[in-house]
Amino acid sequence: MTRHAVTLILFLAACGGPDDTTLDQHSGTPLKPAVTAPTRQPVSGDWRVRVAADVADLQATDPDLFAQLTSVSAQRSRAGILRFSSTPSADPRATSVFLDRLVRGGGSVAERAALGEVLGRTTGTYADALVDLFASEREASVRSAYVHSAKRATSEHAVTVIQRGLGDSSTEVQAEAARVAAGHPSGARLATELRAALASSAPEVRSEAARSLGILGVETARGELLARLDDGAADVRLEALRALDRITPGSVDATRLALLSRDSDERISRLAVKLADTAVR
Amino acid sequence: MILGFAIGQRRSGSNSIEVPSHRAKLRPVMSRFTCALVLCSVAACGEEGGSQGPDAGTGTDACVGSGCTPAPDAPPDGPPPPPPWSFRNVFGVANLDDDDGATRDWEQAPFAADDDMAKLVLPKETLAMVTGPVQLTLTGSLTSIRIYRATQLVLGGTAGGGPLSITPTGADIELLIEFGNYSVAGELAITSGTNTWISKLQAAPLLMNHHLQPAEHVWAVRVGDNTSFINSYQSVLGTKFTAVSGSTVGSDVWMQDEFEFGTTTGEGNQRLDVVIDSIRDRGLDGYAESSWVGPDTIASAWGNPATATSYDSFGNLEASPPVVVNGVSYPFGKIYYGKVGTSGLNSTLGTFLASQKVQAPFQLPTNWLCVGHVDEYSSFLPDPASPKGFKLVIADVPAALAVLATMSPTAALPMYSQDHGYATVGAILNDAALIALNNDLQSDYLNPIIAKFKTELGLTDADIIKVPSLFETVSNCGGRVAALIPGMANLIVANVDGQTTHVFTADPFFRSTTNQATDPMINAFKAASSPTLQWHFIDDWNTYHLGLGEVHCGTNVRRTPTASWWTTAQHLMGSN
Repeated sequence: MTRHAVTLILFLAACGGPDDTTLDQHSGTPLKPAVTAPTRQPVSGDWRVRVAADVADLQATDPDLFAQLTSVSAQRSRAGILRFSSTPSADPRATSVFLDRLVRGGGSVAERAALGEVLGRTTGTYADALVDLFASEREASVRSAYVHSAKRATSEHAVTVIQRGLGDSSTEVQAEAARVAAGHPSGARLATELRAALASSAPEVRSEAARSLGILGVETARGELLARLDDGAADVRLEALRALDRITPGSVDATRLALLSRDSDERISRLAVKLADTAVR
Repeated sequence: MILGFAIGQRRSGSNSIEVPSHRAKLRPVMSRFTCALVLCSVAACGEEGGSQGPDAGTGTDACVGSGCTPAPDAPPDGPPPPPPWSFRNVFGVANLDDDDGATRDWEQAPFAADDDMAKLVLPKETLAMVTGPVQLTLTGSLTSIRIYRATQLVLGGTAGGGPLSITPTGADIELLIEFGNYSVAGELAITSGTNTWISKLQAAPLLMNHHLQPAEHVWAVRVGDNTSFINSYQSVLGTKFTAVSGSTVGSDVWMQDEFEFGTTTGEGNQRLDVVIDSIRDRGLDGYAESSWVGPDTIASAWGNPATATSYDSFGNLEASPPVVVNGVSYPFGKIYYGKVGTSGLNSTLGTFLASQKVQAPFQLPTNWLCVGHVDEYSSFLPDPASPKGFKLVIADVPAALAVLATMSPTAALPMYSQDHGYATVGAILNDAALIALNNDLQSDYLNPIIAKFKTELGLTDADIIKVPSLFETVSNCGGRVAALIPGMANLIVANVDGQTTHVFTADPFFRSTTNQATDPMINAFKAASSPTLQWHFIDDWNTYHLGLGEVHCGTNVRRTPTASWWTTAQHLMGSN
């Protein structure tokens, strides 16, 4: 079995699927129809080969779906950013069609970012492609979308994308990568990069890194996190305090908490008071 | 001295204020409700209500003028008789609409079809008290108040403040009063010999609607994949619902965000609806002008479209139901919108809304949300059994976690599998980052927001329904969040027939089958709400939920005004 096939299976297992649905026969019909995975074995090797094969196969076997996937466009979300506002087809080959659209280029930056985001909502394999797409993408918002989608993939490729995101030239991408790391099953492997991110000149990167280190329970980051309690950015102080308590509850000393309880940011002062109260009890 | 004595004298009898009667603007329900409210207010407020505001009690006159019957429990001896030389105060609407399809009425001389002028009658019986001429002097907003005799401008505007001398001829003297803007006020001194009376002239403030007002009509935009959503409204509301064709509005489905309905009302059933038009200016921009604007309805925008952000959409601008806070009554509720520092609703609109005074706006943080709107986490539901008549509905993470704790970790969530990456309840609970995020949002934002609501609206825990809610971060939104479980606090209340209160909100799909009765999130929300509500959990998953909005975001409602500001809100208007 190829690595891609393993990835696909792991991904589907992680995401679950309609077959997981526990249906009470008296409670109505299932909310989602069952997915019929293609019987063809995934193509091994370079992801481009797989994508080309999937696209050709879909075009031949389900031209209507192919046409729909190639023409569907992202809509302006309520926030104004472009987003695909419908559930993508559950057919894993849909992933390849979206990847194909990205490879072929065209479309605005916002449209590419939307395509990058929707990959994470498809059921096929895409993390290997993200590594290459990330490397060749000039726009930070698109790279950020790739990192976001990497959160849903469990393969080594996904970790690579997040890792490269942490080292990206854009603080927007770095922050997204730091954020995503906390929720990724292999996020703890990025502890070194996250600790380094605590020294970033961008407060949003420092705060996201601090937050992730806390959620991941990176004990070795305690010293750096303590230093960040004096950070000039309130978000960083808040996340550092939170992280320290998550790593070792009750570990922030009373003197420090007393100081932070007078912080000008109410989120920090509230948290410090709460932690001090907890420590007393 | 004169002001202190003269203004606010209670008046009943023949000196009723009138407007041209060819077109009564308020629906019957409004008149009945207004009268009931006024009578109730007068009866309940007693001495305080009778003496508090300069014009307290004039609404009783309006009631009589509208043909309603006096309250059975009115004081038997009634108000003290007015002094012999006394006239009415005038409470009208700004004449900003276009009643003749030509040009804005304020820009024209009076004409027959213009129903936004107020009439002040100086009755011949009162004028008979004096023998010499009557002097009229106008002070206050001279540029925004005009007084006409027939079609001749006699005071205000280019005519100045007077004095104007009129010699009574034995007939009534009829004056037409026109206001050029919201909330403008002036005083008309009516003097003859040693007799002086000052009538207050005041234009209506612009008031935003709230969820307890009857719904007159509901709109949403029909696009390719929201058929279920549209059909749900259509089947319940019938002709009271309009599905706007998406192709005519650039597929802009965010009907709530482009418009906010407000009303202005005056004595004699005057009503001018004001569509506050957002500066967001996406596909729906222009819909108000093409479909709603005309006689008795205008659209106005505040702010510079070039500076628009998501905060300027009107899911970020709402009004509470009527409240009493620290003994102060807000009969039209209070406005609230999202803003922290300079991030929020544009200050031009914020300043204008504050200037209307009656709904005393306050601000809430929305900068933690990707979209950034107050309707993402809060709303109001009627609750007839509640002392306040309503409940605040607010998104709540612990409420969601409590529901999750009652479910099997293996319970399937097929709708969440692909779009959110959570196939089961256990998958959500096992995502430590997600749970931490939501707990932190509750601590950092939602709890302080609840506290703020309590302070600003005088609420207690008993007045609050906590709706199960979870959030997640969104791509390219700087770490800010949107609803993971379709936001049920983002709801629409529509009482269109005076009987059934329909509530439309998102189907959370927190189950494996189509049977909503098995949905624990639905059941938790319904169990916490009034049993009088008719619920409609509608499918907004595609188009709305995945587009980072929900039911309220995709809907707008025109509502009937239900109280007379000149009788119930003078204490809030200060020295307008």
